[in-house]
Amino acid sequence: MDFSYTPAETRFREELRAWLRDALPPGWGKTVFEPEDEDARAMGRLEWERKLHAGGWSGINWPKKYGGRGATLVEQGIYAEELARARAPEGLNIIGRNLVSATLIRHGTESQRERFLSKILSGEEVWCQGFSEPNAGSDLASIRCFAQLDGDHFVVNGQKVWTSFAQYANWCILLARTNLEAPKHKGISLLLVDMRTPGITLRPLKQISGECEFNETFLDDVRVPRENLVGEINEGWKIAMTTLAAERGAEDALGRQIRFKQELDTLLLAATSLRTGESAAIDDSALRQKLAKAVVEIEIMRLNCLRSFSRWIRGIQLGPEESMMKLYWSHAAQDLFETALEVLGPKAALAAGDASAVAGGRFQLSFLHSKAFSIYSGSSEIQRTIIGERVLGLPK
Amino acid sequence: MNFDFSAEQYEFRDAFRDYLARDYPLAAHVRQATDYPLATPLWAGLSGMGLFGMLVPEAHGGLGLGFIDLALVLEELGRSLATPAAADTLAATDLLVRYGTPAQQACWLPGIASGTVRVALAVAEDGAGHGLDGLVTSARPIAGGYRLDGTKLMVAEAATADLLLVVARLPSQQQLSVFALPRDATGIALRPHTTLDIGARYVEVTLSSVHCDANALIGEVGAADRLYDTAAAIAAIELVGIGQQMLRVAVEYAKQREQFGRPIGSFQAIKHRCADMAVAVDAAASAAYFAAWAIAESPHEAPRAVSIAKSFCGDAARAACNGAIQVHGGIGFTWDLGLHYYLRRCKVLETTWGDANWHRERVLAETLAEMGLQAANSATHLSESLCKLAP
Repeated sequence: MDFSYTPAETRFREELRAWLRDALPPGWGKTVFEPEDEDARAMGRLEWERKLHAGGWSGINWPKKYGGRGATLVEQGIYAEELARARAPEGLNIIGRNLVSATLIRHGTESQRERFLSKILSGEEVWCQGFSEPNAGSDLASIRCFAQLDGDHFVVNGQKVWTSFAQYANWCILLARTNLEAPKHKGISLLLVDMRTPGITLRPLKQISGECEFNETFLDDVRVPRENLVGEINEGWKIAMTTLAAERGAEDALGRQIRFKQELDTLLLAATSLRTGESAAIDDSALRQKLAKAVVEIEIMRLNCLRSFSRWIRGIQLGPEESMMKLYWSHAAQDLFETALEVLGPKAALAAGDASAVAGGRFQLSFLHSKAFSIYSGSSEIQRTIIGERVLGLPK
Repeated sequence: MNFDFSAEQYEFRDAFRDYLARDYPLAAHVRQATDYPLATPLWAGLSGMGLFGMLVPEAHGGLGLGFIDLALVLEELGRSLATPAAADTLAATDLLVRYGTPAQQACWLPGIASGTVRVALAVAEDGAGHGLDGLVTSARPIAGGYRLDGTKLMVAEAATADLLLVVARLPSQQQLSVFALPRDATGIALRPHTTLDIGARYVEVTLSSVHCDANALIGEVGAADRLYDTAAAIAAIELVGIGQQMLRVAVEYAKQREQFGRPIGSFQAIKHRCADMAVAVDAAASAAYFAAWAIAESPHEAPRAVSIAKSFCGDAARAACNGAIQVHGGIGFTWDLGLHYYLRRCKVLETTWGDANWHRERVLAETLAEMGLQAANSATHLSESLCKLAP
């Protein structure tokens, strides 16, 4: 057990930190923020990704032959920490960089890798994910979107939902049924779909936060060249499951942890300054217990990530244990934002746009966002079933 | 960066796990309740495995290992509900290694390493709450040494201890200090407690004008705090062991027990509860291992790390004990199944060396201090800058 970094790792951190200092505008995250308009924010995020690429800081964990740095796991951890610490914008092309790239590197053909990877890295092509459907959410394997092979093309018909960033995407990684007779897990294929193909229609979906990050996607006779099939036909389910495991992993969680920690620090600041007569919220012993619980739980989220990283380094593969990480943090973070609003007292409801809102209304927005944590990339109920059956070995 | 144990540390853990499962099964606790003291063969066994020499430097007959090496072994001690005398002796060893003078070390460490010296920690007092601040047991300087007076609660296995470590207050500087007293010193009286934990004996220790020489004072500033934190870290790790064991027992039962024609573990109500227990116990392990690292390698981080661990591990272990009994249903409530031994020990470990609320309060105080924030009146200037922070 050793929490120190090697000189090379420290150099990596310093180099990245210096680059971030120059690359972000002065006052970033303190007085300068992302635009409030959603489209402007999305374009700003894409610009940021292109800047990261130009600086050589995109896709750092990718193999060097595909334009990455072949970064070690520890370097990936440092990368996640430093970007979060600098309050750097999240990217727009998260699906492309994390899910599509991992899928293609592991399961794609060499020509697919050549065609797609460099444009993901450069931010030239943005990706969305076409997995969920109105009747296939937690039961994802029940998808009905159907891809019929017709010569050298698939013809795709169906509907997808919760397609984040589809309105900005050039490409979609799509799960479609290719065999109606096979058991439901064995008749699914993974396709790469050009979003400009005729027959694709988008309808924005407004979220509880008021934002429209995700969409409904309709596919009517959408023709997809056969060469855009990933892996073997009817083998898409297994491939999709490996990508979803990556989504739940420690690298993702470590970056989130630091962002939660920043929110928590801001909350502690608020708790010491929000006054009721002579005392402050921080003097209330019931609130102190809840704030302390938040400190404890967010710190343990970091420790869980570091333990998971160390298991990877020992050569233990990503597996159902990642569900434990995701289940843990999604509820720890939801509790944090419940506590946040409680700390604000009678000002709890004052949201962004109100002159008296605490910290510009950030806690209210985060509170609303936090409701998604226990739903996306596998709801907590699904995670508990995975943990029960695949970690603990309980019967189906 | 490596937050994991070495292959050797896992092997050491396995050796203790095998020994305890073979020679000290739960049934031993049932006998212990009626056939006291049963701890003797266990003590000899643990001592033969080298447990009490782990923290002792080689020069004093030990293995010269550190607290991280001990962590996984403590987990096994917790899992098997081993005698709290082992935990107390190990916490005392850490203190002697860090704070003892060469003479004190030469006096006590070889005996500890060989298993011939057992130590009991006498810290808590009626009316003093958790932590050290409220302790009133006094140590008054007298010619050639000190005179101690006071009453200590919940001293584990004091009747069979050779040495008591007593935390007492010196009048001159109001500072808390640790004194090493032979258990049979004149003026020490014991009254056995009746406690929830029937797997161990706890006593009230009354010190009436107990005289000791100057050499009994261990360490200077910080020794009492170190002792408290080390004992709390050990309790946290033992709680993880209890939580792991309760999870394992609950899952095994849920796989076998059938109702409605199916194993009950196939029902989500049971499966999901077990999953929540697993997540909590695993997160508790993260916290406890980090506390062990901080105790060993980073004393300035230790108070916060220990408090994070002690608060979370107590809650997680309690939830696991409750969950295990619930999953078992009626049989879980029977005396003979023995889940109550874990529940009972868990409650003692939860409520000694600071309970979850006390440790959470300390986590918050430490966190605010690190951030340079304080309670109440001094923080007005922050509110304006805060309102400017946009989302």
